[in-house]
Amino acid sequence: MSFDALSVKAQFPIFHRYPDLVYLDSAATSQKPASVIKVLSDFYSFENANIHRGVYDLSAKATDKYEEVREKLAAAFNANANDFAYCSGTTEGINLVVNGYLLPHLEKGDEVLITAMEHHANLIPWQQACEKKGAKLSIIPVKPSGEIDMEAFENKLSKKTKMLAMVHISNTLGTINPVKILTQKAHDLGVPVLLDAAQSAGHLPLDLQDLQVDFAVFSAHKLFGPTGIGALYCSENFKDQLKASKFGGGSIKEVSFEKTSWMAFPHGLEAGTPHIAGVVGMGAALDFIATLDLEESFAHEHALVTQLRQELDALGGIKIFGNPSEYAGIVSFEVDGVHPHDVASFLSEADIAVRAGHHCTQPLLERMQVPATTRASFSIYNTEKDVERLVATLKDLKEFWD
Amino acid sequence: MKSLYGDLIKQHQKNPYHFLKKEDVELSLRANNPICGDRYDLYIENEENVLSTLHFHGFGCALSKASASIMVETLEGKSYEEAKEICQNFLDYIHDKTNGEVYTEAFKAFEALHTQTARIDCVALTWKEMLSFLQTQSS
Repeated sequence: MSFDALSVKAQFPIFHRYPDLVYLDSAATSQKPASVIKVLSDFYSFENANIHRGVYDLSAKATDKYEEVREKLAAAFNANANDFAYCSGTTEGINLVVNGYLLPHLEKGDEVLITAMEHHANLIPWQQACEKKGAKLSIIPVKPSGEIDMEAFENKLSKKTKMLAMVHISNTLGTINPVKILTQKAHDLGVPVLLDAAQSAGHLPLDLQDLQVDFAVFSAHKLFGPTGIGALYCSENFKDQLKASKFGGGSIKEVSFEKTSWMAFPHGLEAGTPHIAGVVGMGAALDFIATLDLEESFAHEHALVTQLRQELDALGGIKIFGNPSEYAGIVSFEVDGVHPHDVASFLSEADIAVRAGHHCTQPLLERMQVPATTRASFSIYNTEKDVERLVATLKDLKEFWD
Repeated sequence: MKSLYGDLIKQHQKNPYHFLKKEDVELSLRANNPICGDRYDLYIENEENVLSTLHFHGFGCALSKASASIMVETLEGKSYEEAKEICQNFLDYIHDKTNGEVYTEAFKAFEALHTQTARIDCVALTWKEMLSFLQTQSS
């Protein structure tokens, strides 16, 4: 019944190569299990061919493998296979929605609503679209606890709002946002919702039917898959309104010199030779996730970060950013008088990998009046020992800098 | 592994040399790393192509601060030409391109950068700014 992190960890070759590595940077990218690496290697070794309209066997098989992964996405996130378009990751997915759905619908005086804790990827594309159309980018403030200010949200949400875009789990604070409640309120006013699920997909049970969001995006490399691939989910209601914004071969119905017509979602959005091996690798990552009980693995990550939050508090001289009631395995902190880059370098000398910087959430950090933080983020292969090593090394660091 | 944080670096980080905001000095340079937010101002008082008095002020990590402090201490009193060569030697040294030859022993405090390259930008920040200023000054 209880989650066995050590047997999970044994499936990740990087920890065999570096047995002392304490990897606390999974929010940036997860490590990869042997099964995913093998599928990638096998694909290039024995199965490689371009997809669609190759009449020969290898091409037909590659096409099947590529298309099959939509079924795996559907099973993992409770949706239909044809609700998912492949894209290079979260950033591209958001750009596809901004360019293919929002821009054609956005007019002067309209508003786009996002939270103050968005990653730059879920901020800049909306900001640029608003600038182009004379619309307003409206920001839901974040309370000192690291939670969305719900009252401000309700005040800012209006008939002028043309999109609500929000992060599911903050990559800086670890906050889990009440997506279902916000989505319900947005839908009451007919406002579509995009969910940035980069930090939640693969970490907790993500049920897109239950959340009722209209668009969702995530990257495979944060859920044990390869870099350069991810998926964009689009609900049935918006498929016709989400136009192609990246043009090329493979996505079209008919082309003449005068005009072009596109295939329906999702294929209409997948112009050019896609990252076929990446898609197949993402499928392997989804197979790997299917072997986990996500309720259990999430409870494991949650327990570790809770232990860390408590021990950092007890250590003294450390400031933790945000203490939301619902949080995932991510925590940002500051050691009094020591710059985050020095903290990260000191930890690196003890084989502990953390991230230092603004975590692509510069406006959020500005509001918290800090230029950078140190961030530890957990995954299924972390153990209590990792937390102990981190805390002990931070203790050393405080003595060293005293 | 050799540590990035030797005694000399700690000393300079805690008690940096000529760490003072000198707003009355006409010639100043700004060394800025937008990626990490480190930012220093270098205040230059010069006489006939000599860096007669140098001060610096700003904020950043221990490595960038100690490195700026060592630079200010090393370059003060040097001619532009000498300073140019010293800056070049320092930058080459941290990139491990001088066969270990250093203008002054203090540079060896940064030897760990030869294998731990992640922090080179922090250490090079003010030196690069100073060098590019010196390169615009014809002798």
